[in-house]
Amino acid sequence: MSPDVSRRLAAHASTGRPAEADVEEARRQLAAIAEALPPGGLATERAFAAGARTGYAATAAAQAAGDLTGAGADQVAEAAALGLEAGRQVEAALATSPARRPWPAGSLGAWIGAAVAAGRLVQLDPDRLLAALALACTQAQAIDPSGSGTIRFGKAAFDGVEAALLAEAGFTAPAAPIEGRRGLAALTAPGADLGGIAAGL
Amino acid sequence: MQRVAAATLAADLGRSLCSIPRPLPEAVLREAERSLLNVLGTAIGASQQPAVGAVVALAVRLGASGRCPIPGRSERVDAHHAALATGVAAHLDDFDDTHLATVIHPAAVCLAALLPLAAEGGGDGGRLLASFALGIEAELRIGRAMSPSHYDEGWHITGTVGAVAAAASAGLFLGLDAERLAAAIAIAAAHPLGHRESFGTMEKSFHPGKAAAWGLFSVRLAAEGRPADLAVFDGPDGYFGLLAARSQPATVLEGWGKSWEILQNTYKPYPCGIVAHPAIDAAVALAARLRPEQIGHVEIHCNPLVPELMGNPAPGDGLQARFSTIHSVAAGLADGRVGLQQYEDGRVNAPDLVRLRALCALLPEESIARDAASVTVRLEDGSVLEESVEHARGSLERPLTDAELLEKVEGLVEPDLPGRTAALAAAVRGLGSEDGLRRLLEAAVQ
Repeated sequence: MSPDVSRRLAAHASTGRPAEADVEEARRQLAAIAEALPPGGLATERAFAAGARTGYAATAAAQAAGDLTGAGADQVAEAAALGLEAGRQVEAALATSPARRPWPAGSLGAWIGAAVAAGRLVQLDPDRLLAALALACTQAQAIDPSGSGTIRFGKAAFDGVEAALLAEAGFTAPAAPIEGRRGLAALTAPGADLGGIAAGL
Repeated sequence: MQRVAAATLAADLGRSLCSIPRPLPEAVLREAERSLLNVLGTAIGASQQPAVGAVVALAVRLGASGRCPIPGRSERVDAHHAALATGVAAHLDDFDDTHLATVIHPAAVCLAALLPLAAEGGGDGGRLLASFALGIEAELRIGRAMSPSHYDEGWHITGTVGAVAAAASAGLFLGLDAERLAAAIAIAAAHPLGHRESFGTMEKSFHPGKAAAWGLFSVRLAAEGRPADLAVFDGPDGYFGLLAARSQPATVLEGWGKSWEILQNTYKPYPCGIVAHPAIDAAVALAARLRPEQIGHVEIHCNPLVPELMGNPAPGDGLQARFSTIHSVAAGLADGRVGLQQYEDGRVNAPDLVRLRALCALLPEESIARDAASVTVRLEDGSVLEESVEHARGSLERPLTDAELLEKVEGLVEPDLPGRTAALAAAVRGLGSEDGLRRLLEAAVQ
């Protein structure tokens, strides 16, 4: 049992600092995103296009949200890094499930990372960022029998930006979207050890 | 664009949807009309709620202007956000329709996907009604193939199957050929959404809204030629394999065009989870025989699904109360009726209902059917009153009549669109006429 992992993850995303290694990785990905991001269009659709082209959901969400909010490059990199960290932790935790169904690699965490990144840039407080996380979690499924699809990374980026903005507008969502009885872990990776999520943050 | 492969469910579904003989059977079209009127009513009834306002605020924040309406409102936004807002509104009050075998609430996604397309032009009312009916049919058949396992595992089936329905409805309305329709369905199915952890929050209503919006997006991607994995439904790594421990995909197209799941759709008489409805029937009947202050104890004898799905004994607001059988029964006993007012935050937290809820207990019994319940009230003078319900109002055995459905819709529409109920009902009935779609859009929005 890992109570409050969602809340702790949201709190860190809202107010914490990422590891420097993640910031460096985020900057590398942002360079690729810059090539893939369409110049115009809605922030959500720009995130989709960039995410689908590069496979970098959190970073695409960060850049699109950053452009919408007027954030500087350092803020975008920091937000993207937080997203990478959150997505990685969730993926690693869910992978410990003895009964995890064969979801495509990197899919479940992509939505969490995108929501975290976008939520940071929209400056959501911990409660609102938790709502954004929940809205992303409930969509964090991709089915790809051939293993060749990239739409999921675009969709995750789109959904992350949208989730952050809906949360900003007051949309309510469950408080335990990852660890809840009918939440992400229970449905996609039953029995997973969630202790690694938000650990050491 | 890849060729349609004969051995995939997505390809078969695309072909089956495109090739079904028109016009659809009269009974199917009449039920589609009932479903459409009901869901337009619920969408309009909830149109001013904060959840819908949040979606509109999202659209404004993004700069997502357009010409697509949201039922009951005056704003115009792009198709994505109109679909999202409409789907949220249609499902928000938990007052929409229910296919009892799957617990899917099917109409919200199809309405939400079709109305923006109707506003953007290019189709007619007859095609809209047929697309609506066929989207629902596809939705219910896919849901049936993985019921009850899928919902029991914790998925919100209205969301997880919804995008497929939306893609099917939208693709048919736009006239996609079988190949592109199959691709749209496959793209939609590849991203199911909806965890039951959402229940009691606005996020529950987000599921059909986002499913509709994603269905539209999928149609757009397919129309642009984006490759789709038509094997998405098939095999252990596919839709059924990942979403249900037990499923029967081979049944999806069994009897296609001959038997119709849409004819099993029902319409809620109360704005809350359907498993509470028989107990509410009993409570409302008992209310005529007692005064609330006389009540000492209330026993609610019910199916075990009731505490599983609606067991919250002490809800804190209206959304939580829609998943509280105890609140719903208490409200029925206190007020003699259970409508939207009984789920307003103020009513939920009123001292008389707080007191009454504390006197109620759920007593599940395996022998009690899902649409049955009995309520026993012990009064403080020692006397006992009991009411048993064998089939809940609104169930397949006791469906709402057309008149009752119209009365329900009137209660939902008149507060925000006064005087419009008759026009809305006439527009739904007259969708096949030359200006049917225009009249529907005019009747449904500010």
